Amino acid sequence: MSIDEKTLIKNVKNSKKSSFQKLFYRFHDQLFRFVAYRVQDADIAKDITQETFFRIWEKRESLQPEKSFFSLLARISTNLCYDHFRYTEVRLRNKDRIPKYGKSQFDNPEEVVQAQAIEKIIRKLVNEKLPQKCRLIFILSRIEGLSNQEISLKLSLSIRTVENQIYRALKILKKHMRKYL
Amino acid sequence: MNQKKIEDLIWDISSKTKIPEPPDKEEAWGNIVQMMDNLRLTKLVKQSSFSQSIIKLRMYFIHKPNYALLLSIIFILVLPFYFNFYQNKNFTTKPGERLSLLLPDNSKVILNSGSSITYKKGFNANHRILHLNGEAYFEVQNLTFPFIVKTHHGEITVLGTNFNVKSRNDGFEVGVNSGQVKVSSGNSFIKLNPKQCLMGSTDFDQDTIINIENEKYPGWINQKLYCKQTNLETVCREIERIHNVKIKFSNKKMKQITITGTVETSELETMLNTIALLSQHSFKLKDGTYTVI
Repeated sequence: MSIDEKTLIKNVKNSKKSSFQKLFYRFHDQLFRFVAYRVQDADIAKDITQETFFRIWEKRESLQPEKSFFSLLARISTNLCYDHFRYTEVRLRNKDRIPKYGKSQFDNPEEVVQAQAIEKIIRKLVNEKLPQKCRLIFILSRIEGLSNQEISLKLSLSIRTVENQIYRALKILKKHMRKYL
Repeated sequence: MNQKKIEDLIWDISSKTKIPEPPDKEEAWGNIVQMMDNLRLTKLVKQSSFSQSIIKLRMYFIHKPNYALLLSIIFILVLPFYFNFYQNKNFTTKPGERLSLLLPDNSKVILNSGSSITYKKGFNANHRILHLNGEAYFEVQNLTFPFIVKTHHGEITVLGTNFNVKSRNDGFEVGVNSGQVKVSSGNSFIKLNPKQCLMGSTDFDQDTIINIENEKYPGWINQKLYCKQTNLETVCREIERIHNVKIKFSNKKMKQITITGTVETSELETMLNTIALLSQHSFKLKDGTYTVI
């Protein structure tokens, strides 16, 4: 978390609109991708992203400049995602099977389909089986492509914690993947 | 399929997930700004009951054409309330005096000597603001609207609680016996819990909160003065207020002497004797004034 971010949050707490705009521009895309990964729909992701920022403005008096802004965004948007899930009940059935996995890389259509199916399942598992912090870190690592160092800075955590959480995510995902393979 | 393969699979495939493109930021910001403005407007309308009555009035105007009559009727009706509400009620105690009051919301105030309280005539359960100069002990009724004590040093906000406020030239002190209060001044504020006492008025931070050790706080209500490294000047000022006497110091340095102990305040002689003992100095009476020697 840079010092710049702390100052911006302090300003937003004091209702400074320009600082809020800066934070919005800085974090919008990353938050969008985080939400889009989870809800799989661009329009809904757009709405949730917007609503998340708006809620931060609404409750700006309780902002804590010392804490990671992205963590706060993740927390609020996760709650909104839950509301959305409850509403739509988008669920993959357990009976989905993956076509047989061959040793070669994904260079033919059949394997692309395989990969897509696997990817869908991984995403479902990430959404449903990973604990909050674990999921956030896993998504930032795999989807955003951030290094462990970058994630630790962004969320104000130690690198050890980040590494542990990624290890934990893989462990949980592996355990559940076995059902499908 | 072995563990390693599964892990590689997860690791590899998850990074290839296709995510839709983020929408245009300018447009998104535009939407948010609209939501923020709406929020501000709804807040303003809610806060200002005055504007709500204007809105109601305007709606009434639309349907009834006789503006002049309506306006004058409303004005006449409202006028006495205005006067009633905005005039002040004041209570003052001189040195040596003490006063117990019951406020219109059933809260109790005990005014210490040399103090004053002012509040608007319209003080009631929905509007509980008063001004304090000096020292008073409050037993506030627990009602919906906050009870606010304004002093030169800062504001104290409570819901229902028993607490003491001292706002004098030589010090600011707020001590809570039960309930919770919020002391604020400008942008800073601090919250006090039972058995906590705020001393001083510059920064409201944790350093200035001490715990109330005495069982019966504040001392003055029980005819006692609790001194803990209190300097002699402050103690003598208190004596002056309680017993309506004048005390001088034969030597300026004596003012800074500190004493610790509990002093009975009901009798002047006893009080002076105790303090003389604690400070190792005595009081000489001449022409109605006491001098510390």
